[in-house]
Amino acid sequence: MLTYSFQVYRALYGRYLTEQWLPCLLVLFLTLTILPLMFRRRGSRVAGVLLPAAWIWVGWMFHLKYFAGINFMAPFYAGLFLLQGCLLLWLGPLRGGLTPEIRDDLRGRVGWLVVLLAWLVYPLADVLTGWPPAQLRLPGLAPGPTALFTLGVLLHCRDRWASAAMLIPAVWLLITGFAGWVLGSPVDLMAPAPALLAVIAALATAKTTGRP
Amino acid sequence: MSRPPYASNLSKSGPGGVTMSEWALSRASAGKRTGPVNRGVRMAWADGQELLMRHHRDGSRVRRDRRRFLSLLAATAGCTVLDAVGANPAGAGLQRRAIPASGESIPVIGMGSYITFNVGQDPTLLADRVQVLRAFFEAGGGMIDSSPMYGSSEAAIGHCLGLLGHPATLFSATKVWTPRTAAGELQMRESRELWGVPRFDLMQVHNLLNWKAHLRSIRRDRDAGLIRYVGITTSHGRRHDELVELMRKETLHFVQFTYNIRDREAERRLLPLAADRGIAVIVNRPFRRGELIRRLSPHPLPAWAGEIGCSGWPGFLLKFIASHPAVTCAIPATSRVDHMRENMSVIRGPLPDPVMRRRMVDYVASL
Repeated sequence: MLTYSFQVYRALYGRYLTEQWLPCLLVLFLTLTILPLMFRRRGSRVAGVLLPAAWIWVGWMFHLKYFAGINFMAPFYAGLFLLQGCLLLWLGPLRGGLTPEIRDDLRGRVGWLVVLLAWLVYPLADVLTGWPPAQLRLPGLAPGPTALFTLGVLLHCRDRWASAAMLIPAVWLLITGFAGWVLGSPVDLMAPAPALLAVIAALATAKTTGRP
Repeated sequence: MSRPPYASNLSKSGPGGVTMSEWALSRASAGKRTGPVNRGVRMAWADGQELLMRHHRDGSRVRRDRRRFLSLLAATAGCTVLDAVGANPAGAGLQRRAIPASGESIPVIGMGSYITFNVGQDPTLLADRVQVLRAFFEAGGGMIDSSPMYGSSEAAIGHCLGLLGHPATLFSATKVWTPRTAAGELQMRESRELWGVPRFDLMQVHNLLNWKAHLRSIRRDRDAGLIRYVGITTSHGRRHDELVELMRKETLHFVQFTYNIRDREAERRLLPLAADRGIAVIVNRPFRRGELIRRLSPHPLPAWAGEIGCSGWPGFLLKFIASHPAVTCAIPATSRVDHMRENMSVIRGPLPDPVMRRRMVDYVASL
């Protein structure tokens, strides 16, 4: 099972934000930038660089430098995040795919819902369940919201590899749900639900996703 | 009424054909800090087993026999307190148990550190844990058990011990936990540095992981004076068959496994075998990580719990464990000072006799 309590996890996350406030602010700003970039015609390749940067940051700094201090599984989690970062880099800027564009179909609407959950509902629920407002878990900073936001962005990508890139975020949200169950954190416990929704939406629209 | 498993086990012959009662007496008399006093307690226990068996043969005699047993136990309990005062002023009145391998005695309640001391480097949480550990030692605590698996627990314990001046009553116990042999040797060295101790009182192989190689390393460290006792652990009631084999074949000073009022599988084989082989027993998960207390808390303690000095469920549960004669030390974990005081205080005074233990089991099962 888990070797730490939710109270300790929260304190650790707070210390990570306090000690790394400047790079955290920068990563947060860059991750947030992905949203307006998605509205640009034909998408933006810049967004394809920013998303993997968020994964690499969370994997390297949060998991490896902080979380590993209380959880022996954290180096493995860091590996998952670094792998996802590399995968997004390869599928995106290096291969020329994974360019997010606004989609006005079922897949796109589910995508927006998941993005909304990542940026608003997740942190708001945290505050309502006792997290200090200054220590919000947001995309680019915390693993769960980063994975959720990634799923939302990938649902807007017209690339046949977008669904494959959803595997690690979905797995991470399952792990988050398990941790939420063990630690008694209702917000994390609910995390697999939007992941499942995103995966279903991706599978349901798989045939119409790839570019001709 | 069915016969309690431990009663049947304790009546089995020990090595060399001696009965468990004789074994208990021989162990008590071999103890460094045991004398006529603890021998008396052991005799009370042995007598209690016989009375219990007689109770099953002849129900009409049980009340008179139980009274006789309780009076005998009460007569020896006072002596135990005096013995403990002499041995350890800080732990005045604490129930102590002898480690069969040496006769050295330790308080029957220690402290686990799973989750509770894994606080990272958070200064507030570390300061809280210093207070928890202070309360532990003020109450006469001895054994602290940890593991490299528990994240930052060893570092936190070392931090607290440093601030508390490494109390002399500390009995340091940790584990080696890695599938790689060479990494295990490094891990043990790192643990000494994290705790800030020159040697460990007890080094255990965690969950039997790579036990062959690690036992070799631990024994080598023991020969070098870096470790005093050798042990092996399991938890959650897992891998008992393998543990039994190891207890039979290997020379072990300590074993650690799960035992509580709801998880009593250990009574069948592990506890009697430990007694027969002269292996000290550490009991983990005495509250099932708090689950037992949460489940029992809505229910009232039975009125007769007052007979053994229980005023709350934690005491009830700990006294049940501590009263098994093969148990050397139970290690509840807590992050709260008030809970630590409660854990340590409840083991003062009388422990349940075999008949009372049966009532405790039946009562909890009925809830």
